[in-house]
Amino acid sequence: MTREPAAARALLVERQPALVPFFRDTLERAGHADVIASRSTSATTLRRVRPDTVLIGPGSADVRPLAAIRRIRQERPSTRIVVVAYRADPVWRSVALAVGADAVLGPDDDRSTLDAALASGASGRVRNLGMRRTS
Amino acid sequence: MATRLDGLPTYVAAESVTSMREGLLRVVIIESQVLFAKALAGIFSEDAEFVVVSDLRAPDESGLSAAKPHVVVIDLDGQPTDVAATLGACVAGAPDARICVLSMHLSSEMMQRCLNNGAEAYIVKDISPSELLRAIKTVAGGQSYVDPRVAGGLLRRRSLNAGKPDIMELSAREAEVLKLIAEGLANKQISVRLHLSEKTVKNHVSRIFSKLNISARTQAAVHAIRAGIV
Repeated sequence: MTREPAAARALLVERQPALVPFFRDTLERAGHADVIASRSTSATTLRRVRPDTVLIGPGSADVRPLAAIRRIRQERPSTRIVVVAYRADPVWRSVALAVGADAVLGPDDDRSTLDAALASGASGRVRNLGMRRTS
Repeated sequence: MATRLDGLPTYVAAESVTSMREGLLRVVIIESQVLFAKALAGIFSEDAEFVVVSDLRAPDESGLSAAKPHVVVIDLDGQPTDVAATLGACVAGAPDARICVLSMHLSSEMMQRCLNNGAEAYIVKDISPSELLRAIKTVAGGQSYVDPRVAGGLLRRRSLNAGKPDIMELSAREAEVLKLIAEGLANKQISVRLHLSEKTVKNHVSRIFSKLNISARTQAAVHAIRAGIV
């Protein structure tokens, strides 16, 4: 199903306040009309926000990203999940993709890669990103 | 290797900053995570007193030297664990700059280590953008800044020590040398082990003696044993 970009909602999970404005701006430029910043990925939050995209930022290691990805995928099967990680550990990336992330960005990925990952979420389409989920 | 923050209005080459924007605080960001570097640059771009002149993935002496920064903001979390070497490279590349460490660790020990190795600020990364700018301005103005939550731990430890020499005053390299002294190695052997010149080792030993207020290697060994580093 293709969503209208203007209707796209995003949940931004980032615990470092210094990073929130940057990711909020990036999500909005990618067509997300509503960006809700939260420290939680609880089922209650997901049901309240009903996000089309969830962006888990690099300062959110303490939210246990893998558990969060799995929970989001269970609650919101069609929600696009984009993770920005501090480490580029390929094993961790693979696991994150396997449990349900659509894109996992590492320290070397730049803004254009993030833009592409988020634009896919806003439009409801999955682009052929190099680190996208394949299963 | 330096990478420019393309697309950000505040990023311009260092030489043009010098000629066009005198009076601004020139900032170099050292950040292994590209997106975090851009986020940091975005915060500085909101304040007219700053200009980000370079964005490095790791301390690079030539890059720092060319940028001529007033302030170096380095995120330690993505850097190698040798704090002394990492901050030492910052000091070597930008000896006149004020060095501000960003870290996710609420650790007074880590803060102490950073301050011992040339940092003027220890900022925990859950800081708000406005507070971050305020902290950097404080440091650029000649003062120091430490996160008040970890500063408390440092003050408590100093109070408990009540003026006694504290092994935490040693840099990582000095602690390494102290450990080898305690193992019975002579300066020449330490220099071989650490790939340093014997003169450099002598300097380290001299600083260790001064910081611990001791005059003999056996006393140094006692300190090392008490601190649990051997």
